[in-house]
Parts: sequence; C-alpha cells; structure tokens
Amino acid sequence: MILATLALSFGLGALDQAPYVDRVAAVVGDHVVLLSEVRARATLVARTQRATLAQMTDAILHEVTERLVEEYLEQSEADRLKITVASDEVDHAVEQLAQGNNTSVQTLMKTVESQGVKPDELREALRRQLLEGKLLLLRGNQMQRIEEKDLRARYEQMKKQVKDPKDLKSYDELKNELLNELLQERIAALREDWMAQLRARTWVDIRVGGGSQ
Amino acid sequence: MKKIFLALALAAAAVSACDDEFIPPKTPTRTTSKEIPVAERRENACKAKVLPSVAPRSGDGQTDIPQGNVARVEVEGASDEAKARAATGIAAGEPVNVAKTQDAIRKLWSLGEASDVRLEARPSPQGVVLHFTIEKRPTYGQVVIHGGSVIDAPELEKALHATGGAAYDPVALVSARGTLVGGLKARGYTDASLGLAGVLEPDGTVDLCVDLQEGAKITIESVAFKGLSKLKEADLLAAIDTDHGRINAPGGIVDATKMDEALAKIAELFDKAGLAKANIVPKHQRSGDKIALVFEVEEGPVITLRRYDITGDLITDASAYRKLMTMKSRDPFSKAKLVSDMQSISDLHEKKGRKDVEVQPMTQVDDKNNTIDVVLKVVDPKKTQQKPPPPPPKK
Repeated sequence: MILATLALSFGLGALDQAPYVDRVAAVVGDHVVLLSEVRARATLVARTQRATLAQMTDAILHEVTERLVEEYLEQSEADRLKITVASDEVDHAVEQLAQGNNTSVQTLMKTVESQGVKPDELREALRRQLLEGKLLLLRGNQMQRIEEKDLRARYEQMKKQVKDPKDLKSYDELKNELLNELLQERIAALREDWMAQLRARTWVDIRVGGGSQ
Repeated sequence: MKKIFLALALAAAAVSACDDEFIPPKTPTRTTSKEIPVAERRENACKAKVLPSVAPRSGDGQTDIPQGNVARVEVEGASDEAKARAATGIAAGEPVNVAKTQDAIRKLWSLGEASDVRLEARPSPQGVVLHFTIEKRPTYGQVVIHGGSVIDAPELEKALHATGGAAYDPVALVSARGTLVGGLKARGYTDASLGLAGVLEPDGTVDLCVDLQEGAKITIESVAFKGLSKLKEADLLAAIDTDHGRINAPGGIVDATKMDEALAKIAELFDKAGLAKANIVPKHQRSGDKIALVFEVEEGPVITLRRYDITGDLITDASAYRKLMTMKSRDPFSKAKLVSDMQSISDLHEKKGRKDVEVQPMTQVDDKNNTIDVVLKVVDPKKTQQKPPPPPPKK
C-alpha cells in the first residue's frame, strides 16, 4: 500500500505505460518517411471513413506508407523537371470539385470539415493530384492511343458477359462510357509503369506493416 | 460527396549464380557459432533477388506524444554522442513538440551512419524524457562482383563503394546503379542491366552480389517513316538531330531522349500541315545487335478551319480580340496556332488588369467534310457570379 502510494505520488504509474514511439517508417533515397507522418495521414483516412487510427490495420498503414513514398517520388520528379502547381490552379480545382458536387465552395468546405478534413488538407490533396496529372501528361506520348477498334473490342467483351445481349445498351449509347473506362485503365497503367521506373532508380525500404522492397 | 473522398483516397534483375568471378573480401568477417562457409555465403548472396532491409523490427508504442516540457535528451548508439545530441536541436526545459522531434530524427538520420533512428518519449516526474536510438549501418561481409568488358569488376567496386568492411549503403548502391546503367545505355548498350542483391547474415554483415549484364552494343540499321502521302520523309528525317550521324541515324546508336525531342518537332510539322488527326506509332525492329527505327504514320485527312470566332464576356472591343486571332476560315487547322492565339488573348486580359478572365475553346468537328468550327468563349468569373439564380419552376 505504501509502495503504491509512493509510486502514485511520483507519477510512476505513467512510467509503466509503453512509451510514445516515432521512427523511420520508410526510406526513399536520401529521404525518410516517419511513423508519425504515416499515423497523421492514416488518421485523415480514418476520419473520412468514420473510423479511428486504432482501427487501421497494418495493411492499411503499409498502404498509407506506400502512398507517402510515391508522393515523395513524384514531388522529387516534379522538382527535377521544375513543375509546380500554382495556388490559383488549386482554387480552380476546388471550384470544380464544388461544381461536380452541385454545391458552392463554401458549402463544400463546411461539409469536408464536418467529415474531419481541414480545408488545407483538402487543398493539399488536390495539389498533389494536379501535380501527378501534370507529370503524367508529360508521359502522355507513351500512352497507347485508344482507337475505334479498341472500343469495339471492349463492347464485344461486355456482350459476352451479359446473359442476354439484348439487355445491353447499343454501342453508340455506351461509346463515351467505354472510352472513359479505357482511358482510366490506360492512365492507371501509365502511372504504374512510371512509378516502377522511379522506384527502380531509388532505394525504397518500407518498414511498416510487414515487408520491404 | 463521393468525389471528395476520391480526392483524399489512398490514392531486380534476376541474379545468376556466382560461379564465374570471385573477388576475395578485403577484411576478415566476424565468425558466429554456426559459421557458414564463405563459398556458401557468396552463393547465397547471388541467389537473393533484392538488397536486404536491415531495419530492426520493434514495437510501435503509444501514438500520442506525452505533453509537458523536455526533462532531458538521451542519444544512444552514435559515434559522437555530443554531436548527435546537438544535432537533435532539442534542449531540456522546452515544450515537447512533434514537429521538433520529427526534425530531430531527420537530422540524426542525415548524420549518415544510421540504418534506423528511433525515438521513445516517456513521462517522468521531471518532465518528458526523449530517448533517441541510432542503429548503425552494418558493414559488407562477402562482396561478389561480376563485371563486364566496358566496366570491369574493379571499376564497379570503386563506383559502388562496395568493399568488404565498408558500411552497407543501399541508397548509394541504387543511385550508382542508375548512373552506371544510364551511362552504358548512352553508349549504345541498350540492354544493359546491373543486378544488386544480398543477404543480411547472422553475424550482422551484409553479403553483396553485383552482376553487370552489358549486352551487345546496338547500332541503327535504318530510320524510316512508313505511310506518308502528304508529307515528305526527307522533311521528317531532317527534324531528327543526329549529332553528325552519331545518334538516331544509320550506323549510330539510339538516343531515346533526342528521339522524343525529334518526334515533338515532327508533330509540329503535321500540325502545320493541318493533319490534326495524324498518329505516329514507333514499330522498331530488332535483329541481333541491329535495330531498324520504323515509324508507322497515319496521316489522316487535312482538317480545314470553317468558322473561327470569339464570343462571351468580352472585356474590350471585339476587333481587338480578332486582331490576335491568326487563323482564318479555310486555313488548315493548327492546334499550335490555336493555343498561341489563346495565349495572346490571355495576355491582353492581363494587360487590362483582368488575369481572372478565362478563354475556353469550343470546337465542333465535321468528320464528313473534315472541317472544324472553333469558337473562343471569354468567361468573366465576376459576371458569372453576379448572374441571378434561375427562377423556381412554375407549379
């Protein structure tokens, strides 16, 4: 009893707790991503999904770390090529996002904040997206062109997948949808290929959620 | 609100066995209770697929840093403890701050001797104790290097700083690989690759295997554009910078960067000729150490400009705008000229102090007659915002 009282009076109860830890979560060339940065981003992801950091699995933390690594690689590439995103470009993206959601910028910001995302965090996410878009555009000539025959082939594929081909809309009705789908796939493939090239020339070691390069 | 979530959403070469070249280690390796024979270690290093991660796995503790003032800063594992403690930039008595502890970890990392830096922060009766642990990089144990004829093993060893006993530095290894392979490719060794792999041994050293595959020097047999009818091949070939026949020309080697630059120039030639739908697809043909650079061209039709006009929230006389529009009806349509005209109009807006006014091109293509109508729409955001909301629908 006396020992317990002494321990409490010196605050020793707190000493029994596991310490706060920060450490290197990933190495990307000369740069390090810290565990505290991974947690901060994971908290943001958790908030948008109405969850808590404690509910984020190792796999999600690993994915968040991967994302931070890729963002660093992209930023380094943008610095090398002297590509930037101006503040008014981000403003415009915010406006477009509001328009896309049939709302005003003010309402959009309020909604986003109510979901636990600060306006600055939203702006930063959009800035990163715009930067990635600009960098991918530079590699646009390496993207396979989408031709009429590709759209037709995709339509035929869809036809085979439905039970009754009569249920499927006509090719002309679906053409824009197919074009958008193929475009998204090719952009994703272009990004994957580009990221693989960036990673091949940089040492990347991810130390969160199991596994490394 | 799906789009908001989208905006925030998360968004080795194979190494052959080491039996052809053998470089003895320059420093003796430490022994363990179960010593693995040297030959086996070297073979294992070359069987590995990637470079090893040497970070220790440890618990991640609490996620919230304790509040209060710093009681003391401890640094463990540094060669020069005083220097490392100074590098943290944190002194006793100051409030605990995550940004500062993050900065401290980065500074300790940049001292260049760590494979890991870890901070543990614990509350104590005197305040918060910050304990930084530096895990030193392991050293190389066995190093196996397979060199080539252009870059031999000693040269590789020097470039990679990969000597037995030196500190294992995967960042420098991967960076040097980029430089070496890039250099070989620039000399025509298009297939060159440099395998880097290794194993972290139980004695704490890293066994490394370096495998250079230079491949043959690839030279260009011919350069040709196929499918031309409206443009002349000679004009397109003239747009390629060959550096006096050294690159991107018969007998020379491929320079992909210069060829990309040439293709951009060639695209301008198509644009000038009104061939807005032209497409160039590289279909290079490789045969042994020779390559034929073949570009298949689909010229498409000449697109003629039918209507070229400006409308919308003009901030000055229409005639001032029209003076800046360099294309006229029946001209071959040029994207480059359109972009240039739009830029001139934006410059005009800026001169008038209205940088915020936008120019949006609205195009309509007539595929049957191969014509295009282009209307430039001037959008004044101030006027857009002032517009009254539409009246509610009548019931």
